[in-house]
Amino acid sequence: MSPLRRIWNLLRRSRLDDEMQQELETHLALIEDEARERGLSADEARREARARFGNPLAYRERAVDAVVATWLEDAWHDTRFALRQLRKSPGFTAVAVLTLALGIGANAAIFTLIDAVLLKPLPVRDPAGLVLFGDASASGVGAGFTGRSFPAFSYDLYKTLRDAGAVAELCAVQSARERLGVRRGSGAAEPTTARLVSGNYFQVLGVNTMAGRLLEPTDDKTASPPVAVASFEYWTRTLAGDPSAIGRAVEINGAAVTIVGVAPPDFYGDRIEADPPSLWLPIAASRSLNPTGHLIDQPDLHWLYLIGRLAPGVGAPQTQARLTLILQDWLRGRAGGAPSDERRTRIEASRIELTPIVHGVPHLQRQYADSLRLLFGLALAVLLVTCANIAGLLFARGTARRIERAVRLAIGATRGRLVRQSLTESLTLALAGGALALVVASSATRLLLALAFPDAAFLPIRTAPDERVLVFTFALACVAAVVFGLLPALRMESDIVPGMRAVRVRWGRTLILAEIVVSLAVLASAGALARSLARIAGQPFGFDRDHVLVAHVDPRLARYDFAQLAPLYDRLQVRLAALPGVRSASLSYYSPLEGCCWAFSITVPGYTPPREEQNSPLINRVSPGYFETIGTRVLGGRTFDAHDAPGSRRVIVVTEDFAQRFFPGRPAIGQTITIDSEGRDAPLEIVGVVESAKYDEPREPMRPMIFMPLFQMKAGESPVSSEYRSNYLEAIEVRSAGEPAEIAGAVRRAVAEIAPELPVLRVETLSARVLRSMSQDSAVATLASTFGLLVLVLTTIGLYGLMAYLVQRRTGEIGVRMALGASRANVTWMMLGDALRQAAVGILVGIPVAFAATRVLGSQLYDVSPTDPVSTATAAIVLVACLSAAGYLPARRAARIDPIRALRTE
Amino acid sequence: MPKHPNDRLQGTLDLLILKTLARGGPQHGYALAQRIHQATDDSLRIEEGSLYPALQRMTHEKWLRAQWGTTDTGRKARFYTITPAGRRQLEEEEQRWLTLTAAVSKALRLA
Repeated sequence: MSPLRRIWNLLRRSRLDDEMQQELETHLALIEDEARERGLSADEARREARARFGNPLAYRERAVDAVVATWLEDAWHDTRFALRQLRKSPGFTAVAVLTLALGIGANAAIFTLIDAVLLKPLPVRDPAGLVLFGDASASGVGAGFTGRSFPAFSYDLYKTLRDAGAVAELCAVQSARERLGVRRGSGAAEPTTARLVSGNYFQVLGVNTMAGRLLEPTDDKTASPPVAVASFEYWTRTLAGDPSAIGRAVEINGAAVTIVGVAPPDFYGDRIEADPPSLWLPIAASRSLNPTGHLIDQPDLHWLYLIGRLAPGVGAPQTQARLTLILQDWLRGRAGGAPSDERRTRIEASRIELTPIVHGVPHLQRQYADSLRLLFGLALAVLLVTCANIAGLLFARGTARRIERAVRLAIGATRGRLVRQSLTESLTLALAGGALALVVASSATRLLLALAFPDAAFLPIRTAPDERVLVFTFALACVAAVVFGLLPALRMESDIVPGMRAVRVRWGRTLILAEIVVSLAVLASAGALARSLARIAGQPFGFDRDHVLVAHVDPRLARYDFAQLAPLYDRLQVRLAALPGVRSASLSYYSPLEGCCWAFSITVPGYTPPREEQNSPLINRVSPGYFETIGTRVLGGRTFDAHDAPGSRRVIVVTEDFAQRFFPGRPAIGQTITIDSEGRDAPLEIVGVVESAKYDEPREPMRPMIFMPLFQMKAGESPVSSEYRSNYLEAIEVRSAGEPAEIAGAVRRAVAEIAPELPVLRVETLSARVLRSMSQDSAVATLASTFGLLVLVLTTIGLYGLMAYLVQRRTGEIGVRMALGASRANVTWMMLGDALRQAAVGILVGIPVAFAATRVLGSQLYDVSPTDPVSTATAAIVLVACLSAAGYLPARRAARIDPIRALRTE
Repeated sequence: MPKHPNDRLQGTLDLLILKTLARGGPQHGYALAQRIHQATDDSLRIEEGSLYPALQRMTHEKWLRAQWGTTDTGRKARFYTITPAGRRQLEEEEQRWLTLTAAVSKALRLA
């Protein structure tokens, strides 16, 4: 019985039961017939039959069990046989299991990330029913969204939308994270990430408490005492899992806040992000935490994401239309009496679009989806090469086991049975590889996360394989077993019939060809990604990344009064500049590549912006000595000094980009501009032009920038404005004479000495920051190169194996050739030529495939063409070099054949 | 090869079934049991509980082929036929049986 048939029987056990039932009934009936012939009555006949027959059901089960038992027994036999065979060739087994573990492990590792970031639904009630207002494309605090789809909302707008009843439930959550200073007992305030949410946040999401209680709408009232919910991670790590911490008050930003409960372990908020919030507080609590700077009463500042559930029976398009009308009404109300025509058109173009958020508010997905898909593709390619390689090895092993198989066939084993046996062997290999792959996967995932998120203290991604990863890995191992096992298993007659051995060689060549093609594509992709990374790292950043140390502080967290800031900065700068080994020191609001800057549109006299132009330069606030400290060249004019004080004439320094864009063909120095948020009565004079620099993302093009001196702003500026808040400087830069990392301790000590209450959040060198800002690219490139190396090694081994087999098979022929006068060089070239031809065909077929693969990279590449000829050519050269080496060794062995001995063996 | 070469009892049942089918042509389970019963002068009675599992197993070993048919009395029954593989098995089993019984009788005589 064929294996398939047996599986069929197992599945159709009930059908088998029926047949048996019928057969037993016949038997019973025949006994009855006989009894009646002997003259018994029908009743008596039946009784006698039953008495003789016993319990028919039990027989039936025994008979059916026999079939199943046979099948299981065969499977057990096959497995034991497979294990015995594999034990007999430990070399082959080790290579196969290890390469499979790497191949499957790479896929499992990337699947773990894909699953966590892209596939897993939020652990809340009915995540498919949640909708996000807008697409979460703007985070932080924004204004001026009129005229487009709103990405964020003010508190006033939230209340309007919630109370209009267009959706069943609606909650609000702060778009950015908040950094709060939490003081427990005595000691310094610990910087803690938190998010403000509306009181109904946990109810709308449908999350149950882990301990204590979660937030409730009544917590979110102005008069309510401030409370907070801790994340499970925060409770276990920082509060040491102390049950008595629940219900106890801590001091947050100087206010007493009661921790009322703990969220469940798998709940990290409404999105997957590095360092998810440790605390959730009701929006109303920000009145106590930030009495002057909270945003509750700022109807035109949009800083909340809204998450809701649709009203039953109302579709998304209808809801969108209703919400848009409510939004436009609200905007009309804000505009007051009679808005201008232009404003009216913009209001009518304003809208609310709904985004389903099964997997959470888009965050990591947006940034990592493409990279993850790319890596998954590469990992699959690696597995494919692994499978082809093992199939090749199995073909070669087929030769060794030819006699054994012939004997088994001769003594009556069916072909199906042999195929089944060799498939069992493949499956055993694949499952062993899969089991080992789980170990590989969880350490690979950890490594990958460390590469991609070097800054994260905590990532809400579990690296230990869960049941989804287990199922994936198991399925992948089974598929791999079929891929690499079926062909050699079916081609088995070639082992037995000598004339069919040519078939084996042809299959071997095809497999190698496939390996070369896939390898070239993987190597070319890895090369393009590595070149792109080098381009990102090697670009001019507009500052000198060597010899600079950056320390991050938060005077707002340390509760400094505005008036205390100027003396603090002075003392810090003087003290740090005086440290031994320090050349200069400065302070700034933002330092390069730390998620830079606020931006606002500007008005430049004599410059009319083209329509639709994004004319919002980035704005930063810096102390005197900033540019020389970070090593940005001054191209003209001057930089800030002690005379640029709050009361004096307002001045700015701009970048070269800025000057060229807004003052093309004329000197920018001496010109004035205004920032639209401040109005026309606050002209800013350009006193200096500096080199353009990358402050935002290393991949993004540079943007024009404005630098402001400390404390200069419009009289009576609101404490919630960026102009005001940016005076709470968060970065200290130090230029060192020697290795900057060496003075990190001295800098920390100096800050602690001058301002003991000002915690230093982080100290790192600017060069480390540059590297970390490219961590995603470098993680992808590193992984792709690892994959490239892996396929290169596999393909080289594969070709070596095939050539070695060919030499062995052609020993007799080579002997004849040498006897007839072929030199050793001739023989070497004959065999090497064969290998090189194989490589050449592979590369010719592979080049278009490689181009197609790198084209897919597209968006992943920086300053490298998707059809980058350099990457493909380099990949081809490396591949040819390795394959030549793989071909040379067997060729040399062929040349050393002793013709006499070769002819004798023939 | 039988699955359990040491299981003499099962081997004996297989042998009897194969022999009966080889001699008497296609038969259903009931007839087989009857035939064996009669052939051994009523001294061996095959239990239905052993017979059907054995038939099932032997069919899967491809020693027998099973087909549905109709009995003389018009009842639907499964008829078993011996296959060439079954005949080979029969020869083997028979040989083994003869060797064994000869050895045992010899041992009994000498003891």
